[in-house]
Amino acid sequence: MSSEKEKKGTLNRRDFLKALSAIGGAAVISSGCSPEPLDKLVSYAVPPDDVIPGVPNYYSTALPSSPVGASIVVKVREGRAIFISGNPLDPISNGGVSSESQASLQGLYDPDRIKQPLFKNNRGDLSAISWTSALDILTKKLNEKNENIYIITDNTTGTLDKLLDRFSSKIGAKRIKYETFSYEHIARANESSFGKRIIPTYKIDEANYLLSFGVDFLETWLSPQEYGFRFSKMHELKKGSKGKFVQIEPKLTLTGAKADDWVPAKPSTNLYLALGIINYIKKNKLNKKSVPSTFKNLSDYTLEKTSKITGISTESIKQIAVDFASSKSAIALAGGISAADENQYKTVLAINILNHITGNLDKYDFENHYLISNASSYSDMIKFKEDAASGKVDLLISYNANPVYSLPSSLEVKKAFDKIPYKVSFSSSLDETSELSDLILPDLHPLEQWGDYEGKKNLRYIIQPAMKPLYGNLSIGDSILSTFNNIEPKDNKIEQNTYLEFLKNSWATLYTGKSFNTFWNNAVKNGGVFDQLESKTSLNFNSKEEFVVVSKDDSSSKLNLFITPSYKFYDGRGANKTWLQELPDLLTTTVWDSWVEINSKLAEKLNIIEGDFIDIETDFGKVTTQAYLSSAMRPDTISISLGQGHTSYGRYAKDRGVNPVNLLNGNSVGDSGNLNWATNNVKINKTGNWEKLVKVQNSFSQDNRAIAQTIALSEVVSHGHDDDHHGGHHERDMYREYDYFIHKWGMNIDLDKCTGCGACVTACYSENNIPVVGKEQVGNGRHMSWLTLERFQTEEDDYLGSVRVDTRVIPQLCQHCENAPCEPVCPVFATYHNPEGINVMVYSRCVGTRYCSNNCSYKVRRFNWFKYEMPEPLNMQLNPDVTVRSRGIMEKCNFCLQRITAAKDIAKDEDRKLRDGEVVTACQSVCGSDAIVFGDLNEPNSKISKVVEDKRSYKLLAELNTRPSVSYLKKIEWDKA
Amino acid sequence: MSENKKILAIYSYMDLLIDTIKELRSKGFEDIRAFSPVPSHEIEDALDKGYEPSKVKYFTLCGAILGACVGAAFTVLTSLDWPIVTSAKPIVSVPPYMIIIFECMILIGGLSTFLGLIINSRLRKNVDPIHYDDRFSNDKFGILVTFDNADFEQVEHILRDFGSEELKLDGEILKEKVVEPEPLEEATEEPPTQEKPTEEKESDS
Amino acid sequence: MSQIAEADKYSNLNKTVMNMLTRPSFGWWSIFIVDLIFLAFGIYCFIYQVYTGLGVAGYSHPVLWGVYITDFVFWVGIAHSGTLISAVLFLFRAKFRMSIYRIAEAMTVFAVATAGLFPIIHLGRPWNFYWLLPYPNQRGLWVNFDSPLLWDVFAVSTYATISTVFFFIGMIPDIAAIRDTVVGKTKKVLYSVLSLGWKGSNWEWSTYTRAYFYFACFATPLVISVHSVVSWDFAMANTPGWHTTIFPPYFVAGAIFSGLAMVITLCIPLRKIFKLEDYITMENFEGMSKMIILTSCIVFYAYLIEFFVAWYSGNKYEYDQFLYRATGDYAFFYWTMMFCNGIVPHALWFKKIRNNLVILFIISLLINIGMWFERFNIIVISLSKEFEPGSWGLYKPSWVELGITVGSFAWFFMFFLIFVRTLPALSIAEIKEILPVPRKNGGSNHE
Repeated sequence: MSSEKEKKGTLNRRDFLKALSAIGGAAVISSGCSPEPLDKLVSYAVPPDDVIPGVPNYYSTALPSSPVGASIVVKVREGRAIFISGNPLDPISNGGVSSESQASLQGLYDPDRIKQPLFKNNRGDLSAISWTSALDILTKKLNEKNENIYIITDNTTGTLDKLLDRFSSKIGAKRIKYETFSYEHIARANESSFGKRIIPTYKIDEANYLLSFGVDFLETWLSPQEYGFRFSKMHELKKGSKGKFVQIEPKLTLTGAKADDWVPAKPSTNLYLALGIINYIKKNKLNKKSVPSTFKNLSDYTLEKTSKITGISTESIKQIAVDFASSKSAIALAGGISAADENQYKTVLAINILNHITGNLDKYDFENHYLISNASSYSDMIKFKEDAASGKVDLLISYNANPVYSLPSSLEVKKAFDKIPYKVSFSSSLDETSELSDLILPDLHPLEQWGDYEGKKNLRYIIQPAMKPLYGNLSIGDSILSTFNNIEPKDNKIEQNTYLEFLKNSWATLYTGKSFNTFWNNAVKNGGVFDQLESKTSLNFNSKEEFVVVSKDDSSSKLNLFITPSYKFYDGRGANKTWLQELPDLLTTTVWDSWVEINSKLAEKLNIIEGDFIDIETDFGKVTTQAYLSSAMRPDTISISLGQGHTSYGRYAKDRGVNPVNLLNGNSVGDSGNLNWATNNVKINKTGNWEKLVKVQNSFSQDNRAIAQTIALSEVVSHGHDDDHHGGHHERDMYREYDYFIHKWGMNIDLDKCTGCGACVTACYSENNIPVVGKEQVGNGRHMSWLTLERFQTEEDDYLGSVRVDTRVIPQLCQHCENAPCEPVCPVFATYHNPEGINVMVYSRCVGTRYCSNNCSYKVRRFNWFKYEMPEPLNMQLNPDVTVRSRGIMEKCNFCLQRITAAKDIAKDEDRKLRDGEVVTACQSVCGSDAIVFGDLNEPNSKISKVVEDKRSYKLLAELNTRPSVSYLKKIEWDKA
Repeated sequence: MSENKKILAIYSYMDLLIDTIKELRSKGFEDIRAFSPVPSHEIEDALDKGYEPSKVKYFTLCGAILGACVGAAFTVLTSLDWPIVTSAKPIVSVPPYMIIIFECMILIGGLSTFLGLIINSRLRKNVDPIHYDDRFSNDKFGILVTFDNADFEQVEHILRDFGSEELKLDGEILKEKVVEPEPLEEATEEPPTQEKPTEEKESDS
Repeated sequence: MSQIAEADKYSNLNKTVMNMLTRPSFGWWSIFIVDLIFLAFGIYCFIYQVYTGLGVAGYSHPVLWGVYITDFVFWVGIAHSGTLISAVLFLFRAKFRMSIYRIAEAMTVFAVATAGLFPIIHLGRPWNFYWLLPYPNQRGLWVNFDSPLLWDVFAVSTYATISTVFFFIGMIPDIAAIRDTVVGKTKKVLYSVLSLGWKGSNWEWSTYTRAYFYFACFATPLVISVHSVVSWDFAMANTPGWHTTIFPPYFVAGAIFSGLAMVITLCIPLRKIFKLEDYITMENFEGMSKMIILTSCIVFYAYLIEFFVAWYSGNKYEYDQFLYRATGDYAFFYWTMMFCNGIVPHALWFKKIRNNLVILFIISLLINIGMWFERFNIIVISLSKEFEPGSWGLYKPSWVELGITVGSFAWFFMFFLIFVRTLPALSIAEIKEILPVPRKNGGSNHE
């Protein structure tokens, strides 16, 4: 096998080290020890000099995850990747990284991952074969006479894209870059508006008024990391003011929860609302530039009419129009997936107009546009399906694309696939599409292979192996290269015989400066080349198109279906990761399953209660799932989240929840030719079955207890000083204060910055070996998360008459109280206060009386009810610095004690004091919006000491005088006029 | 040269027992022990300057004091031995220790009282089973007189006169006077024969 | 007892007691076997729990104490009246205790033996229970004397020891009596050993009565302290509904209340089966009923004052907690408790009811149920709704917990059934004290 690999030119250890030994600094590569689990500890005979047992190595690399990829830093211990944090050098993510990206570790160690090539034998089931024979079969297949070959991949970029192009041109294949969420409508609208068929960067951080027409830019839209960061800059308190964010959507989403004004408009009426606003601006001469005549009957859209169509009060519309037009710098966003209705194209066009006439096009940055616009159009996919169905396709090569799952079942894609005589897949997991294949050459995981990714223009990420491949597989690049030269015609050759060489070669074309090696090494070290250009071109809206928009008569009797992409699973590719399955959905706190969100008033009418199984039926499909009642959505709308409902794709994803795409008519497309995600003809009825809906949080009301606090903007900027935020009452203490003579660790969380994306929760799981307990146990109230995002909600009437939903998110973790109630009640000192102010758990000493949790005012302690096993090789992800807890003991957040110790060791080695900000907790390390501050409260001018003095700072349940070391900054609310 | 004798006299009635005791003591026989199925103050009074009061209270007192000290020492010393701070409280926090001290006091105090009971009642001044009758735990009373051999007759007379229905000398029933086998019947028939002048008995022996 | 001749009363009493110790009847065996079956099930449940994990119990965040601790407090409560009746009433020279205190003490000992199991059963790692004991070890670890749980360890173990010794001391003369009448060599030897060679001489009696008096003096504060300590398990926590100063008296009263009810529950059938009407008289039940009324009033007052304080303190958390108790998810349990402990006992104001053993028996059962619910309410309801709304949750006992609870009753009754067949269930010596002393010249009874 290894000689095989030599010939095929994959990396064995020697080349690996050779190739990488050049790379200095932070990027020394470890491949020294094998990642297979060892039964007994064996020390190195000849230790590789770049691996010090117990000392982690960090590699900057990237994940080629749609739509823009993620630049990450991987923590590797003794040859195993164990933790992923964001790459601080990456200009767009600000060092943040999403839960989904972190969970790719579980993709790497996925127990259901394909371990070697599979071949469909004559009995029709897939059996393992060797790479040699697999590649031979592939070559043979490609050399056969194939009329019609399709290569379906996700939106590949950079070198791999080049390679695939060459490959397809050589074998004469049609390429389809299939993306479930293609941004076709935006690209085409921009083509019409500005003659650029691309998707710009929207510099929302430069705006102080953000109007989003159902764009979930904090969840899945383009780059949630980038927009999360930009949004936090736009929304943060600066110079006594902050940006205002208005979200228009029929159902509250995670993004909408951050909105200062949340406007529940009827689904798929965004266009009319936009026209109404434009019209009002025009009528009242609020526009800076003249209104183009694109929409001929613009003047029809009076406030009244718009209000009638959209279901928003005229005051609201007027207010929005005035605010938008009058604000110094505003921007409107459109083109969200969930809002991609039949008018998706015109909507974006209208929004471009809106931004144009208010002179806000300067925030469109076409220099650094997103390459997701290269994705094939939906019609291409339909075309392919037609071909396949009519038996015109002889060979299909698929990679990272799962159309069988993500296309509406009404298209009968599976049937079409069965018509294809031979299907080859490079997928590394058996999803709905790859399981139909006749030959599977499992790709390596991005953390195991070389590559690059360019999700955004001039933002080239380098993908470098963080560890030796788990199973001796080949990356898609190497598989293709190793067949390429054996395919007729032989003359068209690629000289490089490893993908790494090919990669370097393709990068050689774009390097500047002296030696390629220095350039390359720096690129690898930094995780890529990031040169974002300044946008200079001043845009002008010059669409020649003209429309007459007639608003469809709203048959209010009909129920709208609002499908939201999942910020955990994206389009469903995350569903096989336990961390994501167990990460509670922020607003419903449901886990491990689907649910249909129904307005509580409507539910009352149909006497549906939470947990009822509901049939949701359209002319094209029917799904049955449990009801979740929400008051933060329109009564004429029900909503289902994407991502679940896999019929395959591993033990964790299979047969879990429902896939709402199957309710859609695959053939109904919007005016951009892209799939129409909206449907307004849904019937729901009770099946009569009921089951407790598995949620983490039972009460969303704060019950008038000041848990998640807010403060009015005027109050923040006013100079009066309130002193309730220090918490605790020293005069009430019976004993004298404990003296923390070296450090006193403290944390502060800014509720105004926190978006509730849940990255910190996942980080905590991966750093602290927190067990995943599964649906049933979560249902029993036994989720183990040390850090939970609690969501509270109140509805009150808006000053605009519509309901104002006040949603507050507060990350709840061990508060490390100085007067910790949990400590004195433990009979065996299993939890006590360490001299640095951390409330530590001594797992080995705990006998499990659970008194500490009963006496914890914040209920942040978690008990191991069982021994939670994790199937191999998932256990390889476990952090060796953290005990894996046995059953029958208590556990909780310990401020990442192991990280503190590590930082101290480094400081000690360098014979200096700890620097402020040197200790970074896991949750902090992944937070893109810098909501978490951690540091030493004994250090008078550390960041934490300063921030706790902030006027907004407060402590939870301060009246109990537990005196927590964790403090929060109140969320800033706009004063209610 | 004289040796001691022990006679055990059995009664059905407490008042007879009391009278006998009084009589014996008036005759100067002080070494008397009474048996009864119930604790009786009358008997104690009758034997008033019989024995010094029980020592058991000293056991109790010492036990209690010892217990308290043990409790205090234990809590304080172990805390100092493994000094761990919980919720900013001092290592030695006295109020909670009071409870431990109290419990230790009760525990050791109680146990030493038990010890005192055993030591005082059984190990000292033990009674030879020969001088015991099973019926004492049921419905009979009895006295055990220890006296000089020389006074044998006199004691026997007194006992008989005061209505003892059975005399035992080292376990042997004194067959001096015919006694019905089953004592229970006798108890009820005995009275008439009781009223004889004492002189006759004396002459008989 | 008029039908018995004055002189025969003593021997008659001995006879009665001896009769209870004769060879067990079929009825006794059948009850015993059934009892053992339940016990076996309880043991199975516990093994299953240890093997699988504490998760098989119904615990659900944030309610991390449930039925087990409820059982613990319940049994400790039961354990209280025994020592109360024997010690406190002894000091008060209450006559009506004489004939029932042995049963009560036995109940105490067995109840403590049952209660002691639960702190271990409810542990996450029961095999490490001995870590709660301060024993010297090479790791130099000690225990945390600040923890109420450790006070429990000391209080309950002390209470177990003292009440057992007390129980035994009280029996010495009676065991001697059995020794003197029992037939069969082994039994003879056994009882001789247990009797510590008791002869009933005046010296023994005088020491004995003094020792017994001192013991009573120790036992009385102990009774008070133990349940106060148990109540501190809750009162020392900051949980709304737990954190209150009235808990110690409230718990002690409750304990005596439930304990007396249990004594009645045991005495009535015992009296019937063994025909003890001569000794366990209506006077006894009268006395206990009156004490039940008293303690019931105290407990009921505590229930009400809790509400008043919750309202008067202006403490939102406290207020919400009690509102929740009365109207929330567990309202049924709450009102059952109120009915059984607050309303039912007041029927005993009427002599007719006090003297009707059937009704009395039913009432005593109701009180036992009510008191179990009281502990359940205090523990579970308080925990399920604490300070932090985001963490609120409900708790539902699982079959394992109920199985172990049933098993604990079986465990208790097993001891009791063995007891009535092997040891004097009536205190011979003390009952004789209240019987007229046999006198030749019919002199008046001084006792």
